[in-house]
Amino acid sequence: MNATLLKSIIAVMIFFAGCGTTNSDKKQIAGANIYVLNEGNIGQANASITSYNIETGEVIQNVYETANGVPVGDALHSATLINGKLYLVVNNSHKIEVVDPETLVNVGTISLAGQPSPRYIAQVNEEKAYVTNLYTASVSVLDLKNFEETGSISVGQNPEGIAVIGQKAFVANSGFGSGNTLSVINTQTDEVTETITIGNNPISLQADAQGRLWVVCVGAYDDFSTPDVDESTPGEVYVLDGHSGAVISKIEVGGHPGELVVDSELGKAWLSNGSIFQINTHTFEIENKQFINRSFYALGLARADGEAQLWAADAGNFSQNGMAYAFDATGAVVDSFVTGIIPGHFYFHDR
Amino acid sequence: MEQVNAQTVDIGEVTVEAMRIRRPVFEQPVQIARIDSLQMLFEKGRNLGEILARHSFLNIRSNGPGMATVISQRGFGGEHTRVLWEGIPINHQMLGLVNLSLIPAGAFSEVEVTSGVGSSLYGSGISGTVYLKNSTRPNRVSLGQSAGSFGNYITNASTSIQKGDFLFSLNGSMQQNANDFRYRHPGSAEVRKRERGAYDNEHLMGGLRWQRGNKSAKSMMWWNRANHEIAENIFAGPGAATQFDEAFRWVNSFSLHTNNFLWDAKAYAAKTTLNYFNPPVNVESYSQSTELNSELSATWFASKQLELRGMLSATMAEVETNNYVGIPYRRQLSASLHGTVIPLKNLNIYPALRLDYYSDFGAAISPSLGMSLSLVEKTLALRASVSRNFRAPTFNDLYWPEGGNASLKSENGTKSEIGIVHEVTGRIVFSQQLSVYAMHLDDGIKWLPNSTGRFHAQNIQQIISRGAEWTGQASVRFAKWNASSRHSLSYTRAYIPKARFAGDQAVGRQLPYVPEFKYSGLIQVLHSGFGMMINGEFVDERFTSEQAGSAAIAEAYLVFDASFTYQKLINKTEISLSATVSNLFNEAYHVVRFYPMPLRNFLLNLTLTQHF
Repeated sequence: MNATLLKSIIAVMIFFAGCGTTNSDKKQIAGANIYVLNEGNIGQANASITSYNIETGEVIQNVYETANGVPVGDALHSATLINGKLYLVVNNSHKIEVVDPETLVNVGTISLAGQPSPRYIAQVNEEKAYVTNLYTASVSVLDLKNFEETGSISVGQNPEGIAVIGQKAFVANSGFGSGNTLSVINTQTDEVTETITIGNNPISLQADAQGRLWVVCVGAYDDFSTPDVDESTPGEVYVLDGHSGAVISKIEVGGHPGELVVDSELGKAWLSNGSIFQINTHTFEIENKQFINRSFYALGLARADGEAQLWAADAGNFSQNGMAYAFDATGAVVDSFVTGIIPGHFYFHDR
Repeated sequence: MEQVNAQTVDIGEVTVEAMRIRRPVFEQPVQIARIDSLQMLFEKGRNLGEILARHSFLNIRSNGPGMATVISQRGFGGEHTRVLWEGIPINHQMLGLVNLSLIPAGAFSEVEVTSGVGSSLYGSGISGTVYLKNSTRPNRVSLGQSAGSFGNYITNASTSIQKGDFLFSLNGSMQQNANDFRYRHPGSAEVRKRERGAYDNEHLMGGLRWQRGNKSAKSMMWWNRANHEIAENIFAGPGAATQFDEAFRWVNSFSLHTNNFLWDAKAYAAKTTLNYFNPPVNVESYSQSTELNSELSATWFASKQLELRGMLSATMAEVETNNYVGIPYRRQLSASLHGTVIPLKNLNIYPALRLDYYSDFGAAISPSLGMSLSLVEKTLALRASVSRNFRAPTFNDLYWPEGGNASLKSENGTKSEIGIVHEVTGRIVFSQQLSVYAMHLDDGIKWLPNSTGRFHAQNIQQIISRGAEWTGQASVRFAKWNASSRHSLSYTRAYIPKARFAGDQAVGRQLPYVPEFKYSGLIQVLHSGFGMMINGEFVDERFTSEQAGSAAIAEAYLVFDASFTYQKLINKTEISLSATVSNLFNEAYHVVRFYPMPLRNFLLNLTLTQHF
C-alpha cells in the first residue's frame, strides 16, 4: 500500500474536509517596473520578491519562487544590476543568485565559502565584482564570467556598504556598532591601500553622480551591560571626495539613521532617521527634518517623468506583509502597494 | 525456558497522577491521554517530543531530530504548557518552555497528557500539562544498546533493588547521534544529507523510596546534559551555532497517612545551565537558573462525599546570565484549596481556588470548577469545567536587555470545556473521550517592534482558541493474542480577534504553526513475546507566519512508523529485541518549514535484563 493511498484512506476516515491550500499565483511579471526585495524573517527562509507595475498598478507577490520553483533563500538583502543581470545577495544563505531582470529566471548561483553573510555587491569592471561579508571581515572577489568566488580581501570588522568610485572601492566597517573606518581597496590589485577614520558605525554608502561618497554613520549604541553609562553617539552623514578620500562635509543628523538615497542632479538627498530628512546636496544642510513624518525600513529613489520619486517601505511588525509608498516632491503619498515580509530594498527596472 | 508475560494491554482503571484530583479518567473533568509503559517500550531510543507527536493530540513543533522541539497545545505555545516531573513544573525560567528533544523518553515509564487543566492545579500555565512518570519494577539490572540510522547510538543501563522497606533505583543513558540524515530538498527530487545536526546527551536518574505502614518517603535525582550543533534551515548555510544544556534536579518528599488525613511535604531544588554560542555573530550566551521550592499539603477525607486538599508552597527562582543586567530573581508564594464533592452517587464536583503571589509582577487568582456526571454507571459520563488561568511572564520577557519589559503583568485567560467519556468493558475493552472547549487569552505577551524597529515585550495580544479533542482506544484478548488500537484527533481554531496595532493583518487568521487538524493513531498486536506496533501521525497544513498566503504554508504530512519487539526469558535473564522503522513510506516532510525531518530510518535495540 503506498503512502498516497494511505493518505486518502485516512483523509476519508477522519473527514478532513475543507483544509484547502491556496494556489500559487502564476501570473507573469512582464512589465514590472519595481521589484521590492523582502528580507523575510532570518532563519525562516521566507524571503521573497514583490513586483509592481507602475503603469497598471499590478502587484505580484513571491515572483522569484513562481519563476524558479524554489524560494530565493534566507534573508534577501540587496540587489544590483551588473552586465544586464540582476545579482541578488541572499545574506543568510551565503550566496548570490543571478537572474534575468525581466523574468527573474535564475541563470547562475555564486556560493560563498565559509558562511560569510554577504551584504552588498558592487561591480568593479566587466569581469569582476566585490561583495562585503559581514561575518568574516572580508570582501569576496567574484568572477562575473564564471559566476564564482575567486578571492578574498581582508577589510575591517563587519563590513556593510560598498561603493566603487574610479579605481577605489570603499567599504564601510561597521564593527557591529563599534567600527569607525572605511577600507579603501585598489580595484586593480585587490589590496587595501588605505583606512579612513570616520564616524561611528558606518553602514550605508552611496556614490553620487559627482564622484562624491556619502557615508551614513549610524552611531554607537548603548551597552546594555552598563545601563548607567550613556555610550551612544549621534548619527552622522559624511560626504567624502571619492577620489582623494578627503572629508568634504559632516552632517550632524543625530539619532541612529538608516538608509540614505541621493539625487545630486536634483540636489536632494533623503535620509531615514525616525522621520525622513531632506538634505540639500549642494549646501549639505538639512532642509527639512520632517519631510515625511514617519519612519520607514527602506528607501528607494526612482525617476518618473523626469521627476524624482521617493519610495519608502514600511515593514510593519516584521512578521506580516509590509507596504511600499511613493511620495511626490512635497512629501505627499502618490502611490502604494503591499509587499512581502520585511521589505528591505527597492530595485527599479528601467525599460 | 518460558515466555515473558510482562506484555499486557493496560487499559483498565488507572488513577490519574497528572491531576491533583486523584480519580480515574472516567471521573475526571478534563481530557486526559496516557502513553502507557507498553507503548514506551516500543519507543526505545526516541525523545519525548517524538513520543508526544506520535501518541497524543499535542502538536509538537520540531526543527528536526535533536533540535528545538516544543509543545503547542490548543493553539498556544510551549510556554503555556507545563511539563511536570514528580509533580513539579520543569519549564525553563528564561524561556518558559521545555525543549523536549533533551528528554530521553526511556527515562520514564509513562506519560500523561492533560488538556485544559487550569492554573488552579499547578499555577502558571494556560493550556495543559505533560506529566512524566516513573514506576520501578524491583530487583533487576538491565543493560541495553541501540544503534540506528545516521550514526545514532544509545546505551542504556538501569537497576533497581528492593531491601526491606527500601527501594533503590538508578537508570542512565548515553546517546551520540551524528544526525546527518537524508532528506528531500524542496523544489527538486534531490536527496541531500543534513549538515550540522550532531548531538550527544547523557542522563542519569536515581531514586530511593521508603515505605513503612502509613509513612513513605522518596528522594529522586535527575541529571542530564546535552551538546548540540544547531542546524539552520536548508536555505541558509549549515550554521555555526552550538548549544550546551545541563540540568540537575532533586526532589525529596514525605507522606504520612493518618485516620482522615494525608500529609505531604516536598522540597525541590534545580540548577539549569543553558549556554549558546554563535561565533560568526560574536554571541556567547551563558545562563544558569536556580530554583528552590518547598510545598506542604494536607488532604482531609472528611467523608465519602467530601475530600479537601489544601496546599502551601514557596518558590525562589533566579537567573544568572551575561544577557541580563544584575541577577534577577523571583519569589513566589502559593496557596490552594481543592475539593472533591460527591453530593450524589453519580455526580462529582471539583471546586478549586489558587492564589499566587509573585515578587516581580504581583498576584494571580485562579478559580476553577469541574464536574463529572455519570449518566450510565461506569459506561458513560458527562464532564465539564470552567477555569480562570494565568501565565507568568518569563525572565526573558521581563529582563532581556533592550526589549524585556519589567512592568509586564501576567497573561490571563478563561477556559470552558464540556465533554463525554465512554467506556465499555468485556471481551473487548473500549473507551473514548470527547471534549469541546473554548479558551480566551487576554494581555497575551507579544514581542512587537516600536517606532525604532526594536522589539519589546508587551501585554497586547488576545487569543481565542476553540476546538475539539477526541481519543478512542480499544483492546481485545484472544487466547495468547492481545490487540489494541488507539486514535486521537484534534481540531483547533486559534486566532487573534482584535488588532494589536494599526493595520494588523493577523486578525481572524489561524495562528502560525497551529494545524486545524491533527491525528495520531496506533495499532499494536502482541503474541507470545512478539509484539508489533504501527503508528501514524497526520498534521494539517500550517501557516508559518502571521500573514496567510501560499508562500507561507508548511505542507500537511502523514507519517507512519512500525516497531517490532521480541522478549524471551531464559532462567532469570530477559532478552529483549526491538526494531523500529520510522517514516515507513519515506514521506518528505517538514514540521517547521524548511527544517526537514529524516526520510525512512531505522533503530535496533538489544536489552538484557537480569532478575534477582
